[in-house]
Amino acid sequence: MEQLIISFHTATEAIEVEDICRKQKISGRLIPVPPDIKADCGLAWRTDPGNREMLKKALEGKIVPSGWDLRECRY
Amino acid sequence: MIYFNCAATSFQRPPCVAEAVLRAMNGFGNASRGTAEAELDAARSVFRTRKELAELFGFDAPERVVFTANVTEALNMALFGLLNPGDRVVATDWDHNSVLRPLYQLELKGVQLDFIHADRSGNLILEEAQEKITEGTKLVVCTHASNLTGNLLHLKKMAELAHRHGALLLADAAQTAGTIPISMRDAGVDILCFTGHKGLMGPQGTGGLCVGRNVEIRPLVLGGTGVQSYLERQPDEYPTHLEAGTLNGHGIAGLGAAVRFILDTGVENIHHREMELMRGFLDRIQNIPGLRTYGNIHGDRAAIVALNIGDIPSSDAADFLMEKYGIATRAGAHCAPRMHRALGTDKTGAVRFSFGYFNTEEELDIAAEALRKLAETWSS
Repeated sequence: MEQLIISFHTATEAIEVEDICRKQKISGRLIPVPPDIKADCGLAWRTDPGNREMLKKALEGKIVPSGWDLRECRY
Repeated sequence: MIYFNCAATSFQRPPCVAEAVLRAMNGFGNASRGTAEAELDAARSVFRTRKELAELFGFDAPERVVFTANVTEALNMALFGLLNPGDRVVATDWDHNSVLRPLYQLELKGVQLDFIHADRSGNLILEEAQEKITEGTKLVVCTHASNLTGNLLHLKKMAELAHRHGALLLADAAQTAGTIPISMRDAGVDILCFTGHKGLMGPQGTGGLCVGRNVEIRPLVLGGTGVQSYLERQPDEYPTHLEAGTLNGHGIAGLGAAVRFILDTGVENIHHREMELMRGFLDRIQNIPGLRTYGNIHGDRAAIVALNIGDIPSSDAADFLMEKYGIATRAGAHCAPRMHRALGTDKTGAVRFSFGYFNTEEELDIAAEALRKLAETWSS
């Protein structure tokens, strides 16, 4: 199952993204950052790839993530 | 006990504060040290508290609200992280030892230190600010309210003066955070240091600093942040740049509950109530023989009244109040040596009454009666 993994510079940003997504009803959850992603704030947002545009719009002017990666997730 | 030592700590807090600490102790993991729900709950609480503090202080960068153990640590962090040998810093006679001692230490390392003095009435001689804040001054440090007299400094005017000469303004809000409206944005404050357990009514062991986006502070403490583990220096991003080691997640949860109480109640309403109490106290004690107060008791101020009666040592007066009436005050020098010298009270000290939102008029009646009795007892 392909998933979109969004990484951040700080954990504060990650928690803020969770907050934004909950308010705007964008599905997803916080996960530990996969080890090969360099910008390691400890937390990443995992969501369905179809949410990419909606998320970009929601974060515009608020947060600039350090990465948007597509990953094959086993569960 | 009647607690009139609110400039030392809040003592009476909204019940939601202890409840939040208990919930956190029973349910929180370590913020930024994992992604289990317990860790995330801690991280969410810390995040929410940063945002609410930013809202309270009119500050546009919640990610630059940095948590420390107290305001002293916050001030040390700012002063040691900003100043280098050869830099010029201007402070005031109102400042507390939490500012003065770091500055004296920095002076030994080559920082140039100058003071805006207070006159015999405790008022800052503001003409000196014009003379001393000049080109080449890197930092102006000022306490928002004297912890001895309660007198307030006009932060916006100080910021304008500092900025005109290219200096930053650091405000010590130890006595005003949570009780007097502050807007860093409107006043132009570059760095604001606060404690969590006084006017903010949170738990002891909490405090912090709001670092403006135009300011860079070297970390005072280095170590684990839970992030960027392979980086050999402290991460550059705030707040982790200045937050090495585990945060006081339990305390911050309590602080968050306290800040929400303050935002819901309104800082203006809290300030109004405290002024009402302080003025009520001044009205009740005005005719007590031999009693004198210090500083300017008129105008807008923090709810603090420092006084002496005749030549009664302040320690004896405070002991009498506690022993005979169960009234908590604070005697002595209040970690404010320059202010006591300016007022001429460095030998006697002073008895400081400081009021909080939950004090009552009945308590003021008892305090006034106690002071009247003290004056009579001593003169007989």
